[in-house]
Amino acid sequence: MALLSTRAIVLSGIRLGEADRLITFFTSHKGILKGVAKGARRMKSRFGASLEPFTHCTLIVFEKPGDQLARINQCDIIHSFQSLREDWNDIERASRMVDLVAQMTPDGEANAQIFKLLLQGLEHLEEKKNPPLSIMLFINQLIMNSGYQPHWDNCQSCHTVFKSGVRETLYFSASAGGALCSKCRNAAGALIPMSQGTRAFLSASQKMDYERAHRLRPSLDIQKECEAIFKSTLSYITGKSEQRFARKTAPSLQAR
Amino acid sequence: MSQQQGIFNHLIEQLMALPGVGRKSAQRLAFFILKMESHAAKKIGQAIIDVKDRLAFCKQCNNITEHEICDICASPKRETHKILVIEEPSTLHVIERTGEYKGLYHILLGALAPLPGSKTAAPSIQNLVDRLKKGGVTEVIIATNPTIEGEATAIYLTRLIQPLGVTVSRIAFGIPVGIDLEYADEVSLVKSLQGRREIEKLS
Repeated sequence: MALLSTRAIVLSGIRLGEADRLITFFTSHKGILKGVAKGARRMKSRFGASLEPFTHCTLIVFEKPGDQLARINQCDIIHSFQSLREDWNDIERASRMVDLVAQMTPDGEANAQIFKLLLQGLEHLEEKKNPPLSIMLFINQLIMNSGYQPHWDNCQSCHTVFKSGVRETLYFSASAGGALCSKCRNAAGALIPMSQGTRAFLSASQKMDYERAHRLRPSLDIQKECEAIFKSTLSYITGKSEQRFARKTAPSLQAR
Repeated sequence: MSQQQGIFNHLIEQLMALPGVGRKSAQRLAFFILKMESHAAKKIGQAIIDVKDRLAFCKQCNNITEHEICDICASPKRETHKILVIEEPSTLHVIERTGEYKGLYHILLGALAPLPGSKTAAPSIQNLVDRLKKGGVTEVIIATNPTIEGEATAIYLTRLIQPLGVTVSRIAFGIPVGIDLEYADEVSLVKSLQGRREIEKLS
């Protein structure tokens, strides 16, 4: 039996029983942690708004050996990220970030880099400087920090080093672990065509930290190619369908 | 296993289908029912059958009703220019208990789910739009839950309803009555400051 005090980011929450909530956190000490907040849905709950998704908080939980769910004793807000819950696009982007962390990190395994990355990602979304770029860089760095680092600088089959400025359609294969030249395109299945620009962008952003990578300015075409590459990579790693990782747009806003 | 035990176990299994009822609770309830007077147990059974056979959702607002249109929608005393939008029928009873609201309701029977992987629920939004297009409504009050799903639904509804020329308002958020401010969380406090109102001039 132990009390754990840790910094955490709320990933999601679902209703449980009559007035409780089951909350999934990403903690700095233990990675993903699930806990029950007793009476959290009641009017005068001591948790207030501290268990809403995206909240950065200080968490105190009671863990009983053998139990899968911890009991949440206290949750104090460090930063609420409230503005991310007030616009559909912000909700969608921030939800995508927390969902990807939930999908890519195993329960109970701490990962300080991913914790820092998620916090930085939410901060960048809140600042609204370039949200589509913030999401792309987040996914790229998350894949890297999860231990899967696609190789962009040379062909994964014949090992030819790619030269920037050469006009050649390259291919990405999640199973091959990175880029393939046009000659080796038959070496792996499920290929995604990509330009040299996309390859150069992914290679450069992988070598920069999250903050500095925001200086890059990928074109819309590069962004589209990256989206396809990320969907394929995430699907390959998690074993879930590519559709699972697609952007979720708002339902049609046309009143029929 | 004797036939008698089979009937008893069947009751336990059926009670376990209820939310929040595990085997132990179901067993306790089953023993309680076994010891009840026969007519009292039959009343419970009949009440469940009546709910399933005689109740339906109101064609206009999705409230629970025995008729095609619920008592609130059919009442001539209600203010028909106001519609309060809520997620579940259970919320309606809480609001009605206050006696403060005299307008009509629209129950969505769900909320939009913006989280990836979750299927977007199809709450009855189109019915609401159809109601508004008929005219006569000047204000829609959105009272979805102050959760991320409720907020997403409120944002979506606002963007859908405002172009129809109807005033859209959101219920106020903030500090519950009866608590000490020192225990309030930051978000609730900020919300209460944003939603503050001027005190009427003392006469």
